[in-house]
Amino acid sequence: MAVATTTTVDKEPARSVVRTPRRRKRPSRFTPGLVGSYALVLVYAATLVLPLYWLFISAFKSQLDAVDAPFAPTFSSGFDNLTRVWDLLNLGDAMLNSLYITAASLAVTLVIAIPAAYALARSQGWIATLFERIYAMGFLIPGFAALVPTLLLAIQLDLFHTREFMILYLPASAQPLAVILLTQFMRTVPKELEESATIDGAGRFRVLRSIYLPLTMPGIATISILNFISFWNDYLYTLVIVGANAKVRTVQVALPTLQGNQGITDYALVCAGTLISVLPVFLVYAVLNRRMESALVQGALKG
Amino acid sequence: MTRFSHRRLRLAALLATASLAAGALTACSGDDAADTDTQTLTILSSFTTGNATGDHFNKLAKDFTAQTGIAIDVEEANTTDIANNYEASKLADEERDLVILNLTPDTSDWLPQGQVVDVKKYLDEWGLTDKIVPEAMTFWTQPDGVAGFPYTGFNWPVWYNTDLLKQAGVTEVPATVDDLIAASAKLRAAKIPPMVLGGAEWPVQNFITWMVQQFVQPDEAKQIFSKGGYCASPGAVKGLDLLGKLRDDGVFVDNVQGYTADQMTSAYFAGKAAMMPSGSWSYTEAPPAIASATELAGFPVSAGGAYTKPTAFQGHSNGFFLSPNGEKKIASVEKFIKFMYEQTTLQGWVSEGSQIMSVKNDILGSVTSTQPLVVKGNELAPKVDYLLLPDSYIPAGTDYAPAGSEFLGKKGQTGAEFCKTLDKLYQK
Repeated sequence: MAVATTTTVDKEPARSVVRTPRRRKRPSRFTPGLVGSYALVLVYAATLVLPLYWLFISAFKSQLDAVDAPFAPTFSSGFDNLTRVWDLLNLGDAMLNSLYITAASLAVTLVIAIPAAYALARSQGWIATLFERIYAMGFLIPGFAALVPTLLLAIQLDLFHTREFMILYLPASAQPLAVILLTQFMRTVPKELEESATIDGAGRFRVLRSIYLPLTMPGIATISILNFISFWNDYLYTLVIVGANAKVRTVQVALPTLQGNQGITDYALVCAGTLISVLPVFLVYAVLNRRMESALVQGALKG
Repeated sequence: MTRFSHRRLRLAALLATASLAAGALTACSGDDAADTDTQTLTILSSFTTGNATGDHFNKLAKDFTAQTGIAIDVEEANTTDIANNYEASKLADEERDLVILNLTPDTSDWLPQGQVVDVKKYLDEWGLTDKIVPEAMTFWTQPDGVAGFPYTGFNWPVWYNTDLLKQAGVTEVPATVDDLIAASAKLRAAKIPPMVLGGAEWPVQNFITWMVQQFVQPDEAKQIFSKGGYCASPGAVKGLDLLGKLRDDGVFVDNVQGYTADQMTSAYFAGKAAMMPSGSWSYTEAPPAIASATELAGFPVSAGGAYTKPTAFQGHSNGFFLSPNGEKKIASVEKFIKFMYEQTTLQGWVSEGSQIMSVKNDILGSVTSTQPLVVKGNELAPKVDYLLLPDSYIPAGTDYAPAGSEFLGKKGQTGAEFCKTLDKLYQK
């Protein structure tokens, strides 16, 4: 072994005669800073995943296990909680009501916000600037502050205890964010595209439909995801205005009835109901997330 | 830049159209609370499905419909939101005919504000006044009339898990405050959390009034709960000092100030606390092992205090509020209320719903619950002194919980300091 080693070493100087350029020593991939960063990222990811993990496993546990062994995946109740909560709260109807309000509100939001954003993006005058600022001022109104006026409006319109009022209210509340975001997206579309389309005889609507809509689809997807989550999860307004009647209540209004009188809530059942209620949100996110990420990255690159 | 495929767009459009159509179709079945259909009674209920009360009430509603042909449309909401829900619908004159809820500081101003109807004349005309226990009638009677039909009651003792006490070498339920402190020390030494309390929510408000009444007689307590004046009452300050002493001597579980009511009950039911002040509404929910190990008793006697026996609460705060819309259908309401006070219905609430009814024993007849804790709760009376229930005296909108939570978290703070915080709640 020793001889062989010596031989190998002896051959090395002969190779060095060729004068190959010395390879630069590659820096270690695991610098302390990098390891620290990864550790922080992992901790952050864990803080995000842990509540979801708890929610998921608690949905399949007994009431006592959910409290006694909160992080142990005991699966002691199997699918019982899911089927029980579905029947108890009539979640099928509640999901349909939520879907009706959310989908219709989203459709109305986009139908109003897209042309509005197009108009603002393409207008240069002070009136457009003024309108854009008025939209932006919508952010200044706290949601809770508008509850009583909104309730009175629903009563005046004879739409109290109806889901249709929410289909009018939710898009109105979403307009500031939707219009301001979409306006920024539409400003990134080169004017030349619109000009050539106009020369070819395209009208405003055709320009919007054939040029702006496809090019700003990541922005529209972003608006759609954000508003879908917001509309789907709305509780206070839906409770006060639509009410808790089983025929019209949404899933978010149905779930809190699991909160028992005076401190006797079955958290396993609540988790099962919550798990069912978040599935549509995950589904929509799964379908649209690439568009949203693309929109975010696009924003980052363009500064 | 990628584009949506036409297929996906079509799918999205289809989904949106389908959900709109589904909603439009189901909208036809939407209800109208303001209708004057006397063959349907609408009820906003805090008895929620999945709990003993909600399940039993739903069964009774079906029985009533089968007997009378009058449909019952029940709308459920949890106790946190139900008052807001009712008040919003009242604003639109679309309130439900009846509301099943507790008379608490949240609802005690409904009658003076005209949000509900004075039911005194109906109680008398329908022969119910004589059926209801006098304490319940007193509790529901306000200067403007009777706020509702008193229906179910409760008792509210301290729960002691005797298995956990024995594990720590405590063989008897604490009879005095000194016993309680000594037992808590032993429990802590055995790594068993002593007394759990919902320190962040309404249980702490109740517990504050519990401690204050250790040294204050009912008449003075009424004044303090109604108008404030904690600092001006030596007895009240002494009671608050007692609460501080329990905190500083480790009677409560760690971080008790953050516990919600749900977490309190869950901790006790999971065997993670040896003691808990809680009411009869939780009796039916206790796991069998915990129920059999639990002994119900009063809060231990304080040396030099106002009571010689351990103390507990009892009350009759749950009942039916009648709304102005409900009064328009008074014939149907009469049938429903009379049905609810029939002996067989009342007995069903005890035997199947395990409730304590606000009616006299001769009206209720001979009936017992199959739940062991309900039976134990009914045997409390000779062993405890019942305190004044503060719920109908504390003004609407006055909430001790945030201040109480803070006090539980501040070791060393005295009753003389805490009383100022409580008195500030009354300076509006």
